[in-house]
Amino acid sequence: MSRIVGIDLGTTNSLVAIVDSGIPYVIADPDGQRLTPSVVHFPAPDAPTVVGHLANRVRALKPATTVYSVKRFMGRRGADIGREETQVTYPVEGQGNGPVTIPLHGRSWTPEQVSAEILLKLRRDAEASLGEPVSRAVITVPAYFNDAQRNATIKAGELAGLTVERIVNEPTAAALAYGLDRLKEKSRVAVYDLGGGTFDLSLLELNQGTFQVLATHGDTRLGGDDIDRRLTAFLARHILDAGGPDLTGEHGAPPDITLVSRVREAAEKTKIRLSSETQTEVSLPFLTPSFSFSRVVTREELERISTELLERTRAHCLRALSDARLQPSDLDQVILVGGQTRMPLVRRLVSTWFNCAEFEEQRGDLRLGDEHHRPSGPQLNTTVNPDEAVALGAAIQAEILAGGFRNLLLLDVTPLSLGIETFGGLMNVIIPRNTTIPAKAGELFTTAVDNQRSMLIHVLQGERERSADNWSLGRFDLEFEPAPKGVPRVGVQFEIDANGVLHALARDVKTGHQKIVEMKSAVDVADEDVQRMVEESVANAFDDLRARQWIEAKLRAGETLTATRRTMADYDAELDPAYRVQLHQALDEVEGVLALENPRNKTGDPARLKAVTAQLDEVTRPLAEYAMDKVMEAMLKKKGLIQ
Amino acid sequence: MTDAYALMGEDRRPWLDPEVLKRRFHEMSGPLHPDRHHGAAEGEREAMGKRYAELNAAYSVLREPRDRLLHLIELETGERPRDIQRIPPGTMELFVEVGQMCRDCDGYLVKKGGATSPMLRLQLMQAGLEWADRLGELQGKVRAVGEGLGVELAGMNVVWATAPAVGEAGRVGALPMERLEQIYRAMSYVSRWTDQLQERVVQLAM
Repeated sequence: MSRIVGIDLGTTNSLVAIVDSGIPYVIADPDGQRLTPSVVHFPAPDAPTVVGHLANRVRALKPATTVYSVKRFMGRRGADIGREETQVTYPVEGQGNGPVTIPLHGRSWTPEQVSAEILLKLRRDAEASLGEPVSRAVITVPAYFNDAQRNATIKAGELAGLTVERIVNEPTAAALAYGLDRLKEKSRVAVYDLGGGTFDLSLLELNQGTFQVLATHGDTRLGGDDIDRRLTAFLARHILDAGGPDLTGEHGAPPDITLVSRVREAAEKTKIRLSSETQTEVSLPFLTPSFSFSRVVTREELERISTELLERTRAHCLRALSDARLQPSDLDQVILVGGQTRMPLVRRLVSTWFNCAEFEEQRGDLRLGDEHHRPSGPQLNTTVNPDEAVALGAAIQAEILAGGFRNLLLLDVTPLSLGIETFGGLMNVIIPRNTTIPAKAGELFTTAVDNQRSMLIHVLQGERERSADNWSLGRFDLEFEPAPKGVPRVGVQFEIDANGVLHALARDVKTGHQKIVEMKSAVDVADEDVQRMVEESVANAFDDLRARQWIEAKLRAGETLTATRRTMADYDAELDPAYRVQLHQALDEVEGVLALENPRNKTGDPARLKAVTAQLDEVTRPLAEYAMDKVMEAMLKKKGLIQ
Repeated sequence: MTDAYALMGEDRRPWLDPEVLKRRFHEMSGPLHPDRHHGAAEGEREAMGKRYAELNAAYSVLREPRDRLLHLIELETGERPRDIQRIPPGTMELFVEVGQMCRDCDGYLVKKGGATSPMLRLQLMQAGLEWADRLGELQGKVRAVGEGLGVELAGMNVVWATAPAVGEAGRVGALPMERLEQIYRAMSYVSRWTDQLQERVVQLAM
């Protein structure tokens, strides 16, 4: 039987690793490269695909036939794909409950098929390096992947000729790689995993070789790609302002994708450079025959456009801690994984959220060092190679399955609650999230009317109360023997296997007859979401949109004016005279637009009002930050934490 | 019904040390976990998988004090406690306080959710700090109630140790089942309050 390799199938890069004589290592391709870009180029109909570095190089030249970040589309339905996400340079199709497909050269490719091309390349590289056929693999997925996304990953492996021996969660794999040398220890760690397209936060307890996941939380649509996209939009605006082509996509015709691709590539490189430098020059010569672009981008600018995105990961950190009933001070380490965690802002934010020891921050004149971040906090661990840890962990899990590492055991959890729909469209949880897997739970069903032959069971995954807000895994018909109501008894057993994949089994309690339930995939079910969106859009059409927008904008402007005046009065003595003038000007601008309200129909120009209010927000930002520091300082003083 | 205590080799009693129980779970997981039988024949693999899932379920039940008490009541009396919506004695005040706090805090959270400009957020920041303090204080109170119940449970262990053995006459009569049921109900409320308050703490911190 073939050896089992570990594969990290990433949004941006993929790797293959193996354990040899107890040591895990990443397998390099014939060119000596360990990282394979998850990029597939389709040169022509029926021509073989180009995968990895080569494909990445032609990406800017042939953007329409080069597929990247396909992991984002794995196991997802057309209706789930946001508009922003379809803004890739290759065509993406998929409506309602239909699967997402990529039409190229007259053929429809599924995300699984594209991923299989990447897996096939990794398999070939491993075979070349090991000198033997490879047909078995452990593949990693984001911890927060749902059932459909996990199944899609297994499918991709099968298409590449691999038996997928296990699906492992990425942060858990990273923890294995981290903990392999620490099998004697007892500690608690958080793994903060921010990759190209997904984010996970997992909390684990290492206990003499047993790795138990306590809780996990995440977002499968948040990653470094999103920062690239924002930086691309930022550059596109500056290109337009400098008299260049309109690549913003905000006005009229869609922009030239070849040009957008070039800007995107520059944005990604700029982002990476700004992790080590505080400013860098973006240079795009001859973007059009008559226009070249060049501009210095500072780290501060990049941070300003990324902060809001990164702040979103905080909620997941808080929820995971809350689920595990832990405080940051209960942790020993916060391990950073995923290429995006190289960004200094990520490290700074994570340190602050987890109260990491040996971390200091300066806000204005206030040093939030020793006192604010008590040394009892966990250590921020950046020693693990963020690109390789997941693949190494996958290889370790592969070795465990092959019978090695007898002193090591991984107890993982299911990230999402599993349940069924009950009366009133509510979800009834059967296996709660963060339950150790493999897990089983049963539910007993009976009939509500005489001679009822069947019942429709709707299986759901998610954390929301209403079933429509959760992910539908599918429906199945439960069959009964004809009998008076309430007499038949059929037990349904739900099992989540070690891969985090669901199986359902129905058993007639009277006859003991068992049957594996075939679930109809969610794809052919009417989509309530789409229905709801259609209804809402019709209802909105009858509203007077402009009037409503004006009222909302006016309300907000009024509140902001009052708050600004009050804060200015509170800190009047500390305000720089020039800044005070600037503030007054911004206030006057807003007042000016408000004064233009038509007294007859009580309506004005909402777009202009929003613009001047946004400008006021921009001007007041430093004032707000200053005042927040003062409030924080006052609170710390009150609690006796600082003098 | 599976006896989770028997499955994990623990004596039947209301209080279990969480650390000891966890160690036992890890020890028992080693030989049973599917990872250890990946290369075995399919039938054996399935059987092991089933046994591991049972162990897993037993640990889940015993780990949570509330679930453990429910299980213990069922084991001893043969039935689930009746479904009554009565607030346990001595907790009425806390019940009202938690409800009121959550409602008021939700009002603040709605306001905070709508504030997008720096100036409006500044206005709400002071209030946010005060909410966090108040929630923390109430969480402390709820925690103290839970800990008090835990201490009482630990004190009951001796009654279980000295009661007539399972199956012998007079066992149920010798056990303080009524008080156990009251503690079970109180613990249900404590865990619900803990969740409710924690949810606000999380939202406040976002």
